[in-house]
Amino acid sequence: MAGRKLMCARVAVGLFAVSFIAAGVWRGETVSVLRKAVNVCLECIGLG
Amino acid sequence: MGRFSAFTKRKLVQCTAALLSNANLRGFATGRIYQGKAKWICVPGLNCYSCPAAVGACPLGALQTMLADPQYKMSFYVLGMLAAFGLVLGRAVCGWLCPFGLLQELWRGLWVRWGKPVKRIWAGNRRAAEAGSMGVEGGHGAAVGPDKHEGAGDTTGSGNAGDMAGDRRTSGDRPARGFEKRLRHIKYIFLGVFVVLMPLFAVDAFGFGAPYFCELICPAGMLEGALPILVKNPGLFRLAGWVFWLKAGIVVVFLAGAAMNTRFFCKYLCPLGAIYGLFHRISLVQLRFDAVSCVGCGTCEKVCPMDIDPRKPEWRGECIRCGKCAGRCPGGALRLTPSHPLLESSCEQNHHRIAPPTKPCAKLR
Repeated sequence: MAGRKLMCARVAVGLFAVSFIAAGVWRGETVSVLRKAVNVCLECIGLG
Repeated sequence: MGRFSAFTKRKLVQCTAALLSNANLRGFATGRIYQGKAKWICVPGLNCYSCPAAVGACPLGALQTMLADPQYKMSFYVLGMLAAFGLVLGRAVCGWLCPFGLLQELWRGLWVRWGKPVKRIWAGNRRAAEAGSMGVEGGHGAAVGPDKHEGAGDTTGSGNAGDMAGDRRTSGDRPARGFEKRLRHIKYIFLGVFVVLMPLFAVDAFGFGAPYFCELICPAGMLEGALPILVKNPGLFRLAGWVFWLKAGIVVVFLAGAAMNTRFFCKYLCPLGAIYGLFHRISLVQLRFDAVSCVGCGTCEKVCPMDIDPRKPEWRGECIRCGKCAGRCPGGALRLTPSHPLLESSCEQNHHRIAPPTKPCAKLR
């Protein structure tokens, strides 16, 4: 990948990452992740 | 840090990352998982959040949970976190930060160090079976074969103390290239089917899906979550159904595979590695290849724990940036370096990124 293209791709992915994290926090996804993570995931341990 | 070898540095980073992801060590004693607020943060590596010591969320489990939830059906947060990790580190996460990768390396190291009696028994049984089928004279001839093979197989990379802790390979690690390359696509199938499509579309009457990769395949849940929890809470065994025994079987297959083949899960099965592999062109941590300095000895290929040729561009998505090849390269042709995110000329890119040795940058000639 040429230098300019690479730079554009990195900036685009960086903006994508930051905006997606912000959108996720704004939508309250972190609360759902937390709710799932603080309880034993029965599916993960094969009991669900 | 200057007096430590590259191997020791990587192991230190791996152990530190594993400890930071699993800082609640008291959980192993109590059999209860950590329930603090830090668990909304996704850790970069594969680390089951039902592990009693885990203090962060597994990105793969979190992604499936959000996709399976009819309220969201999409996870901006987890995708953003994965993109951030992928952009900065790419598959260096697998090589340096993933606790499950470290677990595999330690297990492989144990097998290499202590598994010889088992191998001898196995070879002895096979020899006895062959002697029984071929008669006394044929059996004598067969007895020489396996010993020779075993001896030849163990010589790869011997003499390095670091190799004893998990990276030493035998010739048995290298299956046929074409077939083996196809097997590596399994992780992309798992990513598409079990991580994305099934949580989205295999839903119950209320529209809720399930984290199917965690439920049906992931051995990390059994080893890091179920094992310590069930040891402290044996009463939970009464809940064990066919899924539990299916996963127990998968764990047995995983342990056998990881003992025989370095980074078995990372190579063939890990959807998280597949996601980070998609960022291999743009990630800031890159393995750079200087075609001019390459002496063509093939050491990089021999020592690579992922069984790839780091010089060839088609393997870039599989490289976990562990840097083992760079440490052993006699000509210094391979370097593991972080690149500047914005300042990098196109000529440097063409010349130094992993490229076939026959195509150096024309401008530098």
